[in-house]
Amino acid sequence: MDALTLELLNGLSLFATLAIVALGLGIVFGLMGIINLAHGEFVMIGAYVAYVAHAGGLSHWLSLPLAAVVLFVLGACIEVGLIRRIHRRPEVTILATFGLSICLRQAVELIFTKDFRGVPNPVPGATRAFGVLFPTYRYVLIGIAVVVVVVTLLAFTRSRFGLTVRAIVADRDLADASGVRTGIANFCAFGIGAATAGIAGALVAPLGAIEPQAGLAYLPGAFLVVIVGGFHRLWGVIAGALVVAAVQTGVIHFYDAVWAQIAALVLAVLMLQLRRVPVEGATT
Amino acid sequence: MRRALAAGAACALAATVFSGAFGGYRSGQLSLFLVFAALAVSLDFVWGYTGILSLGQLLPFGIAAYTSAKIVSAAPSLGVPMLVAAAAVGAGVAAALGVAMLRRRPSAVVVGLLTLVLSLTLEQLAEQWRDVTGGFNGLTGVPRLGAFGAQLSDAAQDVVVSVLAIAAITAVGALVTRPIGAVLIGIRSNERRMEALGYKTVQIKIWAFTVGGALAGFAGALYVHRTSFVSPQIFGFSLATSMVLWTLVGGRGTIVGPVIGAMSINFASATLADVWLQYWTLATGLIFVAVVVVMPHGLVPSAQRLAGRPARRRQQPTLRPAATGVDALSGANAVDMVGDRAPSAAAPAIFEAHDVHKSFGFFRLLGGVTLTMESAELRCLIGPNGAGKSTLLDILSGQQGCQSGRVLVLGTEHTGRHAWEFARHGVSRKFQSPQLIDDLSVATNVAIAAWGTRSSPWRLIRRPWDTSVPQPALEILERTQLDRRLDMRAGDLSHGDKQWLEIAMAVAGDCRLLLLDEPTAGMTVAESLEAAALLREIHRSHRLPIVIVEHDMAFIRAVADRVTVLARGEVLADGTVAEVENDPDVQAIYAGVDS
Repeated sequence: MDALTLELLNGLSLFATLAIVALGLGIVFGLMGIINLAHGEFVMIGAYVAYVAHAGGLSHWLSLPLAAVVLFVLGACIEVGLIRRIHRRPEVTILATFGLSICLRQAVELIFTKDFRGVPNPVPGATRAFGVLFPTYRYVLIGIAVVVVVVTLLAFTRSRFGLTVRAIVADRDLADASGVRTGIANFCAFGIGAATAGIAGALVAPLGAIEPQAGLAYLPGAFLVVIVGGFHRLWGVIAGALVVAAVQTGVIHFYDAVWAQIAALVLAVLMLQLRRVPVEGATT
Repeated sequence: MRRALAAGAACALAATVFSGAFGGYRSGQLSLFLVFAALAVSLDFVWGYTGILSLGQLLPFGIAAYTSAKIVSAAPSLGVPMLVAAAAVGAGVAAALGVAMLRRRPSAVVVGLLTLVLSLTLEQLAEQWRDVTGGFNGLTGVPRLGAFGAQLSDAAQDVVVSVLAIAAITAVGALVTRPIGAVLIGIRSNERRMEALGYKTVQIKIWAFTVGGALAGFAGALYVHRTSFVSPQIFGFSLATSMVLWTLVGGRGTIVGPVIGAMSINFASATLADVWLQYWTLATGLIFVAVVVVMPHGLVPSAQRLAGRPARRRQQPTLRPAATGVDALSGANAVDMVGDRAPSAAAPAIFEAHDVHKSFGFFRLLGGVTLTMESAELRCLIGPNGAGKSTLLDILSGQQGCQSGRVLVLGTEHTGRHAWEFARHGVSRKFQSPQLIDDLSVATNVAIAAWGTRSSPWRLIRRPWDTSVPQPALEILERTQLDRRLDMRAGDLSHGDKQWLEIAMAVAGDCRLLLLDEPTAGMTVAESLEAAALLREIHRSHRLPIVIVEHDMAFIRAVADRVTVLARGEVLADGTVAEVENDPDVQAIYAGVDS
């Protein structure tokens, strides 16, 4: 029974991490049709923000909003400098952000070198609840991640800003013609997507080594979440993270992390078989 | 084809001379980079030609490399046969992946992501599965290529690897100069058009993916002999990015491009990385982004354009009139062929749609339409916007399925069949907005249409470029003077010429029922009356059944034997032009009076 509870908590923790990492990816794809292969690098940079904040003597909790701001600015700059020139062509954005990810990784390596960095756990120790000991920081992580994901999704689905953005998704040209400022929406959507990645990075920073390649580890999981959850549906991120986390936790329990990843991959392929996707391009 | 072979032979000779002249280190580099060039060409074949953005081309490459390493380490004498086996392994991996992934027509984005994630997952798997893959350090000490019990020296192996890589690249280069090359480009630029011409596009895409996988697998085996080791990084993000960069910089959709890209970037890396490693990696990232934004076509096509040469100078098909008697359109023959397929004594109807329903969610497009054409006639389909005219044509040509009801074409049940099955049964379609293969010439567009109904990848490799085209298609080309612009790029034609080219393409195949969606849109009054005359003439002289969706009443009066009026997804009236025009219901619909 306790073992099961522990697995459930592990699964919940994985779900929260997957959801907050995939959130930005889902927003940027769902709203802008952009596949951001540099998203893992945004997460990695968020972790470095936490590292710098710690080195500067700031509290870890302050580094979360700080990472959000830094990444929002970085994301907005990238949107203006690069994405704006190529948007509406998903295939091209894949390639451009592929290149962008190399640039970001290498720039970080030039500044911080390849050495592993770390941030101390702000709430060390474990909490006993439901009859098992579980690291306190993971409870905090689950809580913060769920709040960030839900608030962000609510902002996009319930607020006036969200309505504007969704109008642009439904029909960009019509929204443009109706006087909606589509440029601003893109700018904000990409910035917010990056900001959530920054929070995710700062949030996971105390749990592992911080190094320039760290972002790559998040990419497969996040993309699986988006594929399983379905493109173009923002709440799909939560459903996708839930399914992927459940499958991975289940498989990890019996085998190991690699087979868990393969299981999630098979799941994604199966989802593709179930979902009817029309041929791209030609319309009459 | 001959040019490709000559170029390949010249390159092989140059590589041998280079190895002799510079020896050891340089020739080792050359052979490794040529293997990378072959890998880039395999990506280019799949992505640049066929349009499948595969970021997982490392899967067949790496799996074949591991397989070769395992087997050759155990039995060094198997080196040479293993090269062939590696191509088969690569082909098998790609075929399995293609079947699992491509059948549901995922978007380019989904394919790109899935293949990338799969490759990264395999990297982790290779690290974990120590017993078989040697874990993080991989398999080392793979013996050199050998034959008859003797191993090649390092220098000799470099030459052999270079020559084999060039041979493989040349083979693909020769392949794309065949008609299949044009067909792959067609699928890349307009899959829907190709399917409507009778191509099994999904099958051809899986075939192309498999051929690309075979080349990647072959390159993987060469790689493992050349470097004498293989490690999990072979599936990694870094090589995956690099190979896309080589292909992108050199130029997609050419064979020379990726080779130049792979060679130049690798030589630059090898030279600069020693002194400048971190900045060079940053520079590759910047080059990547810059190429995507500024020069998306890559070096070779851009250079060709600068030099004033057309970007795609391809072999042009010669169009010949089909020999008389084989003309599928000549009336007697058409009826005979129909008779063969349906044994019943009476000739079957041209098409029958029974009680066809189609809706999207709550929106009803067609609510039980029954429409038949008993004998070859020229029928116009009219109705207000949203009446379901285009949807009905879509269902009659298999572009869309219907929720209930039946569709029969020339006496054969076609309900629920694919568009290519309709096309192969003689249904040709012109879409509302012209759907051409913009990148190919006028002649190639017509030739592709003529091949469509009898095509498989292997046949398209062997068949000659010379194409016999049915008389009506040639008549249209002649009357519209398109026959003087046969080598012009189809995308550069005017709107009206595009319309005519598409109609010519529609009758160039094995056409026994022609469906035209607004053929005169964008034409002047005089032009559309001329179009009416030409269509009537084709209809009469070849007894070709035609259905035309139109709004222009002047055109309809000039052309139609019979008119069917659709309104709100139902048949409202049916009869001669005069009957329909005097029908009070029709007048009410068009005058906006609620009937």
